[in-house]
Amino acid sequence: MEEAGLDLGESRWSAFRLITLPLVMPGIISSLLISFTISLDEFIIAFFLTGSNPTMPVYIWSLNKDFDALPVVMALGTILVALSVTLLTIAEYFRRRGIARAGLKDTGGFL
Amino acid sequence: MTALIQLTGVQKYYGDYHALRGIDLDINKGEFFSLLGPSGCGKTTLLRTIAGFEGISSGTMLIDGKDMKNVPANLRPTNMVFQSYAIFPHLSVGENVGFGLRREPLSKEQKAKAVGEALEMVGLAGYGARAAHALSGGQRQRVALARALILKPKVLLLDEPLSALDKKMREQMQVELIRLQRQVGITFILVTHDQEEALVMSDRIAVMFEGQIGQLADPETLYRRPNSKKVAEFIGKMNLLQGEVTAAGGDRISFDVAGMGAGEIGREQAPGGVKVGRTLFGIRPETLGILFDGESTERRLADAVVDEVVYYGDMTYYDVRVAGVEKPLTISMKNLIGRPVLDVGVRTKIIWDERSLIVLAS
Repeated sequence: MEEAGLDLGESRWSAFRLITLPLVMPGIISSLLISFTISLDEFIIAFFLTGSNPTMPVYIWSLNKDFDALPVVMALGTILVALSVTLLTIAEYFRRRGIARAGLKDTGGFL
Repeated sequence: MTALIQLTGVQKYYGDYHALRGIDLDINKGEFFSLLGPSGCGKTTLLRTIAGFEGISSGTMLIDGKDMKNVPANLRPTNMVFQSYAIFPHLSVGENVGFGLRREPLSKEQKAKAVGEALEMVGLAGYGARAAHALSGGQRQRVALARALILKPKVLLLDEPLSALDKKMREQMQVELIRLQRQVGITFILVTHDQEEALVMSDRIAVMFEGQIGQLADPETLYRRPNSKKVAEFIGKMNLLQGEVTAAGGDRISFDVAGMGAGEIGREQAPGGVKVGRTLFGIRPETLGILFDGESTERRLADAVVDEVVYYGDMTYYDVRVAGVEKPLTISMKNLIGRPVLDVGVRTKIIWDERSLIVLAS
């Protein structure tokens, strides 16, 4: 496939950019989402291992001890939920677009 | 005609493996040239070195008089139709075909026009907006062709382009490729392992075995005057006969074929060279015949027994045993009016002619 690009006059880099990259993009994005989900979800290991730079869930948990920080905890919680919903919506949009482009029938999905 | 591609002593190693063992080849401008051979003979490697995807270990390669040694694939005046077609699935048909024009200094309208023309040339006018992955095999093939031809290369390389199509489609595409080649006048180099395809389509054919060219000739010469047992057996069906060359002086050769008889043939019937002594002879099935009841012939006859009958509708293939001949001879007969299909075990006479006998250098 990349050779076809080269053959048609593109340089090695632009053949990669125009052909290989678009083809592997779904893989890159989904692995990005999955690794982000896992690291966000991972509380125990993150709790023990993080030093002065805690992850978001660990930080929220640490704020729980302090009653004055309640509004901050609520704000962060809201942001987290909103972010998750937004990401899921985007993912679903692309999934449906992909299926429509491939001319397949939708057989699953979560929305 | 001038040679567009000149290969001299081209060798290619993959590690220890000697893939091309000294290829000398001139391919002319506007020619339909085929590289034919069994799988693993190096024909695809040779094509890929011409395209620039593989370097060569030694030798020189000139395209249009320029040394291609340090010229990468994207700067060569060649375009390729891949075996898998390599259609870009994330682009539309039009974008696929127009891909090669990205670097050309043309306006949007000019590019769109060129894409339209290329699609029309391969019979896909109006398909530009379709998604590339929604095409059938034959359509993909056409898109791949249009994509390669839009840049008007000096050489179009075709790597077994028809092998993924069914028989009907393949025959149709063969005719279309020939028509297209005449129309655009570009040099086509076709790689195939299908001897019939090569014979039908090519102006000249190079038969390759184990990284070397076994014979280079036009289809008719290749079929009628193969220069070795390998070539003879690879192209079409050839009956092999044991025999002896009893004298080979001047332009006549005296022969004695076991079970068939002796006689004289011309020098041109030994394209691979000739030596006095035991050797192998070849004779094509369609140049042999069976003497049916009520027919007569001036030609040579031999007594035979029918060993096997294969009926093809328009033709019948007989395997017959002739006393003194080691293996059964295959004969193909047209099923003309009044000709019966013989049964196995029937005694008959076969007709043969020394003019179709070939001395095969062993």
